[in-house]
Amino acid sequence: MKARKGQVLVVAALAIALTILSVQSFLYSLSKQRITPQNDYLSEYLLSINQGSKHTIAASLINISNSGVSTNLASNLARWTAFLVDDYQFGTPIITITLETSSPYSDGLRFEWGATGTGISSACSDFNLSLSGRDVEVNWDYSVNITSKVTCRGEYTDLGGTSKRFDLIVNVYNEEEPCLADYVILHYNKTTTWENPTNLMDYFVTDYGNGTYMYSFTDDIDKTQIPVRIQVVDLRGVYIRVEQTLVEN
Amino acid sequence: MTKRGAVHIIDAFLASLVIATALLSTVQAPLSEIQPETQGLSATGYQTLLSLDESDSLGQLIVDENWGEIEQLLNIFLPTGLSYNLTVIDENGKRVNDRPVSNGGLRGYNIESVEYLLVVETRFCHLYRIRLQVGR
Repeated sequence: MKARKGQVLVVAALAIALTILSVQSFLYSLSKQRITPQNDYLSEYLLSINQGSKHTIAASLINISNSGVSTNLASNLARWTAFLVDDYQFGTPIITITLETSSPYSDGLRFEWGATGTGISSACSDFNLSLSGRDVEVNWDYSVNITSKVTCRGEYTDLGGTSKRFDLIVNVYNEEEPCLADYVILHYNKTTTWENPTNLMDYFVTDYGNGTYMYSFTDDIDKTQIPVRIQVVDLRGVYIRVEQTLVEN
Repeated sequence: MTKRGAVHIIDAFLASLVIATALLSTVQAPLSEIQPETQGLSATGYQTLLSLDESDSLGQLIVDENWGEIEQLLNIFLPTGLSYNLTVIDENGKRVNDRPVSNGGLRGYNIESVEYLLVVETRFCHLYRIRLQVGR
Protein backbone atom coordinates (compact mmCIF):
# COMPACT_ATOMS: atom_id res chain seq x y z
CA MET A 1 0.00 0.00 0.00
CA LYS A 2 2.86 2.38 0.90
CA ALA A 3 4.75 1.49 -2.32
CA ARG A 4 1.65 2.31 -4.39
CA LYS A 5 1.27 5.67 -2.64
CA GLY A 6 4.88 6.44 -3.49
CA GLN A 7 4.26 5.62 -7.18
CA VAL A 8 1.19 7.85 -7.24
CA LEU A 9 3.23 10.66 -5.74
CA VAL A 10 5.95 10.30 -8.37
CA VAL A 11 3.41 10.26 -11.21
CA ALA A 12 1.64 13.27 -9.73
CA ALA A 13 4.90 15.15 -9.42
CA LEU A 14 5.78 14.37 -13.04
CA ALA A 15 2.36 15.43 -14.24
CA ILE A 16 2.60 18.72 -12.38
CA ALA A 17 6.11 19.32 -13.70
CA LEU A 18 4.99 18.62 -17.26
CA THR A 19 2.01 20.94 -16.86
CA ILE A 20 4.21 23.73 -15.61
CA LEU A 21 6.71 23.23 -18.43
CA SER A 22 3.92 23.20 -21.00
CA VAL A 23 2.47 26.44 -19.67
CA GLN A 24 5.91 28.04 -19.60
CA SER A 25 6.63 26.88 -23.13
CA PHE A 26 3.27 28.16 -24.36
CA LEU A 27 3.81 31.55 -22.71
CA TYR A 28 7.28 31.75 -24.21
CA SER A 29 6.02 31.02 -27.72
CA LEU A 30 3.40 33.74 -27.30
CA SER A 31 6.01 36.24 -26.19
CA LYS A 32 8.17 35.74 -29.26
CA GLN A 33 8.22 38.55 -31.81
CA ARG A 34 8.04 37.30 -35.33
CA ILE A 35 10.06 39.49 -37.61
CA THR A 36 9.35 38.98 -41.26
CA PRO A 37 11.49 41.29 -43.37
CA GLN A 38 9.33 43.75 -45.29
CA ASN A 39 11.97 45.78 -47.10
CA ASP A 40 14.19 42.99 -48.32
CA TYR A 41 13.73 43.93 -51.98
CA LEU A 42 13.62 47.71 -51.69
CA SER A 43 16.82 48.15 -53.71
CA GLU A 44 15.44 45.93 -56.48
CA TYR A 45 12.20 47.91 -56.39
CA LEU A 46 14.11 51.18 -56.90
CA LEU A 47 16.16 49.61 -59.70
CA SER A 48 12.95 48.48 -61.39
CA ILE A 49 11.61 52.04 -61.34
CA ASN A 50 14.86 53.25 -62.89
CA GLN A 51 14.55 50.47 -65.46
CA GLY A 52 10.95 51.45 -66.21
CA SER A 53 12.04 55.07 -66.74
CA LYS A 54 14.71 53.93 -69.21
CA HIS A 55 12.22 51.77 -71.09
CA THR A 56 9.73 54.64 -71.26
CA ILE A 57 12.33 57.03 -72.69
CA ALA A 58 13.56 54.40 -75.16
CA ALA A 59 10.01 53.47 -76.25
CA SER A 60 9.24 57.16 -76.81
CA LEU A 61 12.42 57.61 -78.86
CA ILE A 62 11.53 54.57 -80.96
CA ASN A 63 8.12 56.07 -81.63
CA ILE A 64 9.23 59.64 -82.33
CA SER A 65 12.22 58.72 -84.51
CA ASN A 66 9.87 56.60 -86.63
CA SER A 67 7.58 59.53 -87.53
CA GLY A 68 5.80 59.77 -84.17
CA VAL A 69 4.86 63.14 -82.73
CA SER A 70 7.38 64.72 -80.38
CA THR A 71 4.81 65.16 -77.59
CA ASN A 72 4.75 61.37 -77.16
CA LEU A 73 7.79 61.63 -74.88
CA ALA A 74 5.96 63.79 -72.35
CA SER A 75 2.71 61.84 -72.66
CA ASN A 76 4.42 58.45 -72.22
CA LEU A 77 6.27 59.74 -69.16
CA ALA A 78 2.98 61.04 -67.77
CA ARG A 79 1.44 57.57 -68.29
CA TRP A 80 4.41 55.96 -66.52
CA THR A 81 4.12 58.37 -63.60
CA ALA A 82 0.40 57.76 -63.22
CA PHE A 83 0.96 54.01 -63.38
CA LEU A 84 3.65 54.21 -60.72
CA VAL A 85 1.69 56.36 -58.28
CA ASP A 86 -0.86 53.55 -57.85
CA ASP A 87 1.84 51.22 -56.56
CA TYR A 88 2.09 51.15 -52.77
CA GLN A 89 4.55 48.34 -52.12
CA PHE A 90 6.85 50.49 -49.99
CA GLY A 91 4.80 53.62 -49.59
CA THR A 92 3.58 56.29 -51.95
CA PRO A 93 6.01 56.85 -54.82
CA ILE A 94 6.09 60.36 -56.24
CA ILE A 95 8.12 60.87 -59.37
CA THR A 96 8.98 64.27 -60.80
CA ILE A 97 10.15 64.51 -64.39
CA THR A 98 12.19 67.32 -65.95
CA LEU A 99 12.78 66.99 -69.67
CA GLU A 100 16.22 68.10 -70.79
CA THR A 101 16.01 71.52 -72.43
CA SER A 102 19.62 72.68 -72.55
CA SER A 103 21.14 72.73 -76.05
CA PRO A 104 21.28 70.57 -78.12
CA TYR A 105 18.10 69.16 -76.53
CA SER A 106 14.66 70.58 -76.93
CA ASP A 107 11.78 69.17 -74.87
CA GLY A 108 14.00 66.22 -74.01
CA LEU A 109 14.72 65.34 -77.63
CA ARG A 110 17.71 65.67 -79.94
CA PHE A 111 17.73 64.72 -83.61
CA GLU A 112 20.79 65.48 -85.69
CA TRP A 113 20.29 63.94 -89.09
CA GLY A 114 22.34 66.39 -91.14
CA ALA A 115 25.25 66.06 -93.54
CA THR A 116 27.96 66.03 -90.92
CA GLY A 117 28.80 62.34 -91.11
CA THR A 118 27.25 61.74 -87.69
CA GLY A 119 23.56 61.09 -87.07
CA ILE A 120 22.04 61.18 -83.60
CA SER A 121 18.62 60.30 -82.21
CA SER A 122 18.46 60.95 -78.51
CA ALA A 123 16.06 61.54 -75.61
CA CYS A 124 17.03 62.69 -72.14
CA SER A 125 15.23 63.45 -68.91
CA ASP A 126 15.94 63.98 -65.22
CA PHE A 127 13.91 62.17 -62.58
CA ASN A 128 13.34 62.64 -58.89
CA LEU A 129 11.84 59.71 -57.05
CA SER A 130 10.45 60.30 -53.62
CA LEU A 131 9.23 57.32 -51.63
CA SER A 132 7.72 57.70 -48.23
CA GLY A 133 6.29 54.84 -46.23
CA ARG A 134 6.64 52.69 -43.16
CA ASP A 135 10.36 52.41 -42.35
CA VAL A 136 11.18 53.72 -45.83
CA GLU A 137 12.32 57.20 -46.77
CA VAL A 138 13.86 57.58 -50.22
CA ASN A 139 14.74 60.67 -52.23
CA TRP A 140 16.62 59.76 -55.38
CA ASP A 141 17.70 61.91 -58.33
CA TYR A 142 18.67 60.12 -61.49
CA SER A 143 19.02 60.93 -65.15
CA VAL A 144 18.19 58.80 -68.20
CA ASN A 145 19.82 59.42 -71.56
CA ILE A 146 19.01 57.11 -74.47
CA THR A 147 21.16 57.89 -77.51
CA SER A 148 21.48 56.05 -80.79
CA LYS A 149 24.29 57.28 -83.00
CA VAL A 150 25.54 56.44 -86.49
CA THR A 151 28.79 57.60 -88.02
CA CYS A 152 29.73 57.36 -91.68
CA ARG A 153 33.20 57.73 -93.17
CA GLY A 154 34.05 57.19 -96.81
CA GLU A 155 35.67 58.22 -100.03
CA TYR A 156 35.87 57.23 -103.69
CA THR A 157 38.64 56.19 -106.03
CA ASP A 158 38.65 57.55 -109.58
CA LEU A 159 38.85 54.57 -111.91
CA GLY A 160 39.14 56.69 -115.07
CA GLY A 161 36.53 58.58 -117.04
CA THR A 162 33.45 58.97 -114.86
CA SER A 163 33.82 55.57 -113.19
CA LYS A 164 34.26 55.73 -109.44
CA ARG A 165 34.65 53.09 -106.74
CA PHE A 166 33.07 54.00 -103.41
CA ASP A 167 34.12 52.67 -100.00
CA LEU A 168 32.43 53.67 -96.81
CA ILE A 169 32.28 52.46 -93.24
CA VAL A 170 29.19 52.82 -91.05
CA ASN A 171 29.34 52.48 -87.25
CA VAL A 172 26.30 52.15 -84.99
CA TYR A 173 26.30 53.01 -81.28
CA ASN A 174 23.87 52.83 -78.37
CA GLU A 175 24.90 55.08 -75.47
CA GLU A 176 28.37 55.35 -77.07
CA GLU A 177 28.79 51.57 -77.05
CA PRO A 178 28.96 49.71 -80.38
CA CYS A 179 25.72 47.92 -81.16
CA LEU A 180 24.10 46.03 -84.00
CA ALA A 181 21.69 47.44 -86.54
CA ASP A 182 18.39 45.84 -87.39
CA TYR A 183 18.85 47.13 -90.91
CA VAL A 184 20.87 49.71 -92.85
CA ILE A 185 19.72 51.38 -96.06
CA LEU A 186 22.28 53.15 -98.21
CA HIS A 187 21.56 55.67 -100.96
CA TYR A 188 23.84 57.86 -103.06
CA ASN A 189 23.06 60.92 -105.11
CA LYS A 190 24.01 60.16 -108.70
CA THR A 191 22.37 63.08 -110.47
CA THR A 192 19.54 64.78 -108.63
CA THR A 193 17.78 61.75 -107.18
CA TRP A 194 18.79 59.26 -104.50
CA GLU A 195 19.83 55.89 -105.96
CA ASN A 196 19.95 52.50 -104.29
CA PRO A 197 23.30 50.79 -104.97
CA THR A 198 22.08 47.26 -104.17
CA ASN A 199 21.25 46.73 -107.84
CA LEU A 200 24.80 47.44 -108.96
CA MET A 201 26.87 44.45 -110.08
CA ASP A 202 29.76 44.87 -107.65
CA TYR A 203 27.79 46.13 -104.64
CA PHE A 204 29.26 44.50 -101.58
CA VAL A 205 28.57 44.79 -97.88
CA THR A 206 30.59 43.38 -94.99
CA ASP A 207 28.98 43.01 -91.58
CA TYR A 208 31.72 42.74 -88.96
CA GLY A 209 29.21 41.70 -86.29
CA ASN A 210 30.26 44.45 -83.89
CA GLY A 211 28.25 47.39 -85.18
CA THR A 212 30.63 48.11 -88.06
CA TYR A 213 29.42 47.76 -91.64
CA MET A 214 31.54 48.32 -94.74
CA TYR A 215 30.04 49.08 -98.15
CA SER A 216 31.67 49.25 -101.55
CA PHE A 217 30.28 49.75 -105.05
CA THR A 218 31.25 51.21 -108.43
CA ASP A 219 29.25 53.50 -110.69
CA ASP A 220 29.67 56.10 -113.41
CA ILE A 221 29.04 59.52 -111.93
CA ASP A 222 29.99 62.78 -113.50
CA LYS A 223 30.50 64.71 -110.28
CA THR A 224 33.39 65.27 -107.91
CA GLN A 225 31.37 65.43 -104.70
CA ILE A 226 28.90 62.62 -104.16
CA PRO A 227 26.42 62.78 -101.26
CA VAL A 228 25.47 59.49 -99.59
CA ARG A 229 22.61 58.93 -97.16
CA ILE A 230 22.53 56.14 -94.58
CA GLN A 231 19.30 55.21 -92.80
CA VAL A 232 19.66 52.88 -89.82
CA VAL A 233 17.24 51.24 -87.45
CA ASP A 234 19.14 49.81 -84.51
CA LEU A 235 18.18 46.61 -82.72
CA ARG A 236 15.95 48.37 -80.22
CA GLY A 237 14.07 50.07 -83.07
CA VAL A 238 15.38 53.65 -83.03
CA TYR A 239 15.68 55.28 -86.45
CA ILE A 240 18.79 57.36 -87.27
CA ARG A 241 19.76 59.07 -90.50
CA VAL A 242 23.12 60.43 -91.53
CA GLU A 243 24.44 62.08 -94.68
CA GLN A 244 27.98 62.53 -95.86
CA THR A 245 29.59 63.93 -98.98
CA LEU A 246 32.22 61.64 -100.44
CA VAL A 247 35.24 63.09 -102.16
CA GLU A 248 38.18 61.50 -103.98
CA ASN A 249 40.83 59.92 -101.74
CA MET B 1 -2.23 9.30 6.23
CA THR B 2 -4.26 11.57 4.00
CA LYS B 3 -2.53 14.64 5.37
CA ARG B 4 0.88 13.10 4.84
CA GLY B 5 -0.06 12.28 1.23
CA ALA B 6 -1.14 15.83 0.62
CA VAL B 7 2.10 17.15 2.05
CA HIS B 8 4.06 14.85 -0.29
CA ILE B 9 2.11 16.17 -3.26
CA ILE B 10 2.88 19.74 -2.27
CA ASP B 11 6.52 18.76 -1.82
CA ALA B 12 6.60 17.23 -5.25
CA PHE B 13 4.89 20.28 -6.73
CA LEU B 14 7.38 22.65 -5.20
CA ALA B 15 10.28 20.44 -6.23
CA SER B 16 9.11 20.31 -9.84
CA LEU B 17 8.55 24.05 -9.83
CA VAL B 18 12.11 24.62 -8.65
CA ILE B 19 13.45 22.27 -11.33
CA ALA B 20 11.36 23.86 -14.08
CA THR B 21 12.38 27.38 -13.07
CA ALA B 22 16.02 26.36 -12.95
CA LEU B 23 15.78 24.79 -16.41
CA LEU B 24 14.10 27.81 -17.93
CA SER B 25 16.51 30.27 -16.36
CA THR B 26 19.50 28.42 -17.84
CA VAL B 27 18.10 28.64 -21.38
CA GLN B 28 18.87 32.04 -22.95
CA ALA B 29 16.41 31.78 -25.78
CA PRO B 30 15.95 34.84 -28.01
CA LEU B 31 12.68 36.65 -27.77
CA SER B 32 12.60 37.37 -31.48
CA GLU B 33 13.16 35.27 -34.53
CA ILE B 34 13.46 35.82 -38.18
CA GLN B 35 11.42 33.32 -40.06
CA PRO B 36 13.84 31.74 -42.49
CA GLU B 37 11.13 30.04 -44.49
CA THR B 38 9.38 33.21 -45.57
CA GLN B 39 12.48 35.41 -45.77
CA GLY B 40 13.44 36.04 -49.35
CA LEU B 41 10.42 34.63 -51.18
CA SER B 42 9.27 38.10 -52.25
CA ALA B 43 12.83 39.20 -52.90
CA THR B 44 13.53 36.11 -54.98
CA GLY B 45 10.43 36.68 -57.06
CA TYR B 46 11.13 40.37 -57.56
CA GLN B 47 14.81 39.79 -58.43
CA THR B 48 13.76 37.22 -61.02
CA LEU B 49 11.36 39.66 -62.68
CA LEU B 50 13.99 42.42 -62.60
CA SER B 51 16.56 40.12 -64.24
CA LEU B 52 14.13 39.16 -66.98
CA ASP B 53 13.25 42.83 -67.51
CA GLU B 54 16.92 43.87 -67.69
CA SER B 55 17.53 41.30 -70.40
CA ASP B 56 14.64 42.87 -72.37
CA SER B 57 13.12 39.43 -72.86
CA LEU B 58 10.07 39.62 -70.61
CA GLY B 59 8.36 42.62 -72.25
CA GLN B 60 8.52 41.28 -75.79
CA LEU B 61 7.34 37.84 -74.68
CA ILE B 62 4.30 39.43 -73.02
CA VAL B 63 3.55 41.53 -76.11
CA ASP B 64 3.83 38.34 -78.18
CA GLU B 65 1.68 36.50 -75.58
CA ASN B 66 4.29 33.75 -75.52
CA TRP B 67 3.28 32.32 -72.14
CA GLY B 68 5.06 29.00 -72.64
CA GLU B 69 8.40 30.75 -73.08
CA ILE B 70 7.79 32.86 -69.97
CA GLU B 71 7.09 29.67 -67.98
CA GLN B 72 10.33 28.15 -69.22
CA LEU B 73 12.29 31.25 -68.21
CA LEU B 74 10.72 31.31 -64.74
CA ASN B 75 11.45 27.60 -64.32
CA ILE B 76 15.11 28.38 -65.03
CA PHE B 77 15.43 31.62 -63.05
CA LEU B 78 13.44 30.70 -59.91
CA PRO B 79 15.10 28.31 -57.42
CA THR B 80 13.95 24.73 -57.55
CA GLY B 81 11.29 23.79 -55.05
CA LEU B 82 9.31 27.00 -55.51
CA SER B 83 5.89 27.05 -57.03
CA TYR B 84 4.65 30.16 -58.79
CA ASN B 85 1.71 31.72 -60.53
CA LEU B 86 2.12 34.75 -62.77
CA THR B 87 -0.63 37.14 -63.83
CA VAL B 88 -0.19 39.95 -66.34
CA ILE B 89 -2.49 42.95 -66.06
CA ASP B 90 -2.52 45.77 -68.59
CA GLU B 91 -2.64 49.52 -68.03
CA ASN B 92 -6.45 49.46 -67.81
CA GLY B 93 -6.51 46.71 -65.19
CA LYS B 94 -7.53 43.96 -67.59
CA ARG B 95 -5.95 40.54 -67.27
CA VAL B 96 -3.80 39.77 -70.32
CA ASN B 97 -2.78 36.11 -69.98
CA ASP B 98 -5.68 33.94 -71.11
CA ARG B 99 -4.24 30.87 -69.42
CA PRO B 100 -2.42 30.21 -66.14
CA VAL B 101 1.31 30.87 -66.22
CA SER B 102 2.68 28.58 -63.51
CA ASN B 103 4.60 25.39 -62.84
CA GLY B 104 1.60 23.25 -62.02
CA GLY B 105 -0.28 25.50 -59.63
CA LEU B 106 0.58 27.46 -56.55
CA ARG B 107 1.33 25.31 -53.50
CA GLY B 108 3.36 25.44 -50.33
CA TYR B 109 3.13 26.38 -46.69
CA ASN B 110 4.32 29.95 -47.30
CA ILE B 111 3.01 32.00 -50.18
CA GLU B 112 4.06 35.56 -50.97
CA SER B 113 3.10 37.90 -53.76
CA VAL B 114 4.96 40.74 -55.49
CA GLU B 115 3.93 43.18 -58.17
CA TYR B 116 6.32 44.41 -60.85
CA LEU B 117 5.61 47.38 -63.10
CA LEU B 118 6.89 46.74 -66.59
CA VAL B 119 7.37 49.11 -69.52
CA VAL B 120 8.01 47.50 -72.88
CA GLU B 121 10.39 49.12 -75.34
CA THR B 122 8.07 49.20 -78.30
CA ARG B 123 6.78 52.19 -80.22
CA PHE B 124 3.47 51.83 -78.33
CA CYS B 125 5.15 51.90 -74.89
CA HIS B 126 3.03 49.13 -73.36
CA LEU B 127 2.63 49.25 -69.56
CA TYR B 128 1.94 46.08 -67.59
CA ARG B 129 1.50 45.17 -63.94
CA ILE B 130 2.96 41.71 -63.33
CA ARG B 131 1.75 39.86 -60.25
CA LEU B 132 3.99 36.98 -59.26
CA GLN B 133 2.89 34.68 -56.44
CA VAL B 134 5.62 32.42 -55.10
CA GLY B 135 5.07 29.48 -52.76
CA ARG B 136 7.31 27.13 -50.85
